[in-house]
Amino acid sequence: MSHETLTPNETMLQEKLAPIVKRRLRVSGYLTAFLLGLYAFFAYLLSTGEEVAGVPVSGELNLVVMTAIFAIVSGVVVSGYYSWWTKKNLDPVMEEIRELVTNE
Amino acid sequence: MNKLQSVYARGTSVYALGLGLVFALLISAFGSLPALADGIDTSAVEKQALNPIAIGTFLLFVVSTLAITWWAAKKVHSRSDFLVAGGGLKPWQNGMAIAGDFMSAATFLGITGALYFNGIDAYILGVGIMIGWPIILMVIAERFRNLGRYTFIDVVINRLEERPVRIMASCISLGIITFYLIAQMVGAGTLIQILFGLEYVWAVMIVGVLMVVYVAFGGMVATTWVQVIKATLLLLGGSYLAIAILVQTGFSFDTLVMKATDASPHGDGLLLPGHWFGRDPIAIATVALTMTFGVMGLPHILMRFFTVKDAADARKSVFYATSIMGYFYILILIIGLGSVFVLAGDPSILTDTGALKGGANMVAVHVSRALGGDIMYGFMAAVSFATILAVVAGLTLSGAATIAHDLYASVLAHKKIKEGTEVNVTRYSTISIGIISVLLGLAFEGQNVAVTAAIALAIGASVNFPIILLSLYWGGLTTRGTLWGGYIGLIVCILLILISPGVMVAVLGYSEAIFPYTYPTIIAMPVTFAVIILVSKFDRSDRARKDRNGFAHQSLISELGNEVEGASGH
Repeated sequence: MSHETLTPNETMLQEKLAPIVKRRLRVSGYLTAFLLGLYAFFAYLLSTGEEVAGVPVSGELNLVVMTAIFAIVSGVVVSGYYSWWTKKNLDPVMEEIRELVTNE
Repeated sequence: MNKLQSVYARGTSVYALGLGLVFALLISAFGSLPALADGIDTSAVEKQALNPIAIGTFLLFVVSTLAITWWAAKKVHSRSDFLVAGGGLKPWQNGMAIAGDFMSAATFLGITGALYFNGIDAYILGVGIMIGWPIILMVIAERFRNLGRYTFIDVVINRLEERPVRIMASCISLGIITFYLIAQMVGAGTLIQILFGLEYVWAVMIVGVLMVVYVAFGGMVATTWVQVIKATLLLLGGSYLAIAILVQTGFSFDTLVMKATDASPHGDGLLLPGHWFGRDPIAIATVALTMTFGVMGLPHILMRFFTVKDAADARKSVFYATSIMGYFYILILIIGLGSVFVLAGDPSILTDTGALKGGANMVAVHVSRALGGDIMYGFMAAVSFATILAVVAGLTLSGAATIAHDLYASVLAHKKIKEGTEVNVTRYSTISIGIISVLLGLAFEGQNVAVTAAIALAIGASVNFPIILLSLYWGGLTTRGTLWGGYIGLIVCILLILISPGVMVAVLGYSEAIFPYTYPTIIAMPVTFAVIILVSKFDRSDRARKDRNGFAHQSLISELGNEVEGASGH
């Protein structure tokens, strides 16, 4: 199933793809790091007591509850943002490259 | 190293850094280190009187889903139709089905009960899944869709030696599915005994027969629609309960929290950590890693990326799924906290010894009766049954696909069989899995099966996730590295589970376990990564050269899709 060498066409495609793939990896890398950091912070709060996790943030809600809700909402927002970003920036370029390949 | 490969290499470093950050933060977290507390407080299962509303609602569900199966069966003409709905599902349908897989009875009943008894600690399960899904979207979904066809193994073997890797990945896949099925079947039998007043054996048989009918006749289309209908019903029921609770608090979250803490035996401590994990950072870290990365290694979930037409639709599916799950987990938080004051002081839900009737898993159902009377109780009971049915149908299809496509057609028959034969083998496999599931469900009656679900998720996180991530992003991966890492990771994972409290204390009756944590992921996952990377690095075989050279072509297809394969000159 594997192909060991690239054809000249494929090498050209790789050159075209590299910049957009790099941009996407940068965006997804930052967002992934943000989410993992947020989860690590929530997990850290679960290992603390009233003095850290129990700090009141808004009304009756303390830091650990607010972080949990923020993490849930962030999951949805990040998914939405990434989907929007790729549709706007990635899909048109990919489509262009695909057309280039199929027309050749 | 070409340009695209170096971009991937940098990307992998970022993810590795992120993972390292999580490990470092979690392990360095300061706290006491007592053994992991038992997850959910369960009391003895008590068979209830026959519940006609629950049975009526459930029959309605069964009739409508069987009608859909009949309709779906007429649309199945090929292997692709059967296994992945011909790639023709709409993103919202697939998104609902993915969300449905995670809005299981364990989630709805389990997390609500855990919130009631253990407070905010329980929410680590929901938060983990909600963090895991966007990462799946960004790291896996598109490339997966572009590289694969029917099962996740198709993706992994793309540039590796097919036969040995397929066999290993199939064994892991079937192991995960079997452990999951045991947990679901025993859960179904027990739950239905409580909710419907049916005998355990009948409950297990009904689940077994229905799941075989859905999958064997309707394939992926029917399996998806069962999930969609169930997810819709669960969201409707959950929304009703959450709104009914919020009405009692004047739609104020502050009042909800105040009423819950006033009514809870933990008092203000309900929303402080420590009631489940004892503030043990290692126990928390290993659960967190299992929840987030286990999701990325479940075969029946990964298969769903192939049911839509292209990578963009796979992306949309995950966005829909994440949004639905986000809404659902907020509902769970409201219902979990609300149940504390709604059920407070109600003697009808307690046994003679003062324990909650039916155990912690019954909290959501007791709340349904308290807020909506017998009709709501019957409705939620039926939805809980439907939930289990939908999940086992997905698991069965995934298992049957692994047996028929990965093992039979690809390994045994060397792809020299007709499509129709493969579909028939998938159907026979479905029937076999159905029979085995019923037998396992009956054999494990009365056993503590919480550990089997833990094993499935732990293997997903510890073995499948490292293999999938490295096969997609690391050009240095070799067949030998994958096999060594996969087998050693699996052995370490299972050995640690065997000496964990889930087996040594809960099943074998020892007072304490050698390995103090239920989930082995914190050790098994790094071991798998390390073995794969080290063995691949030192692999100088001819096959290793082919594996490494194949990465450039795989990268290209993973971005553009299989349709450009022929056109690109190969």
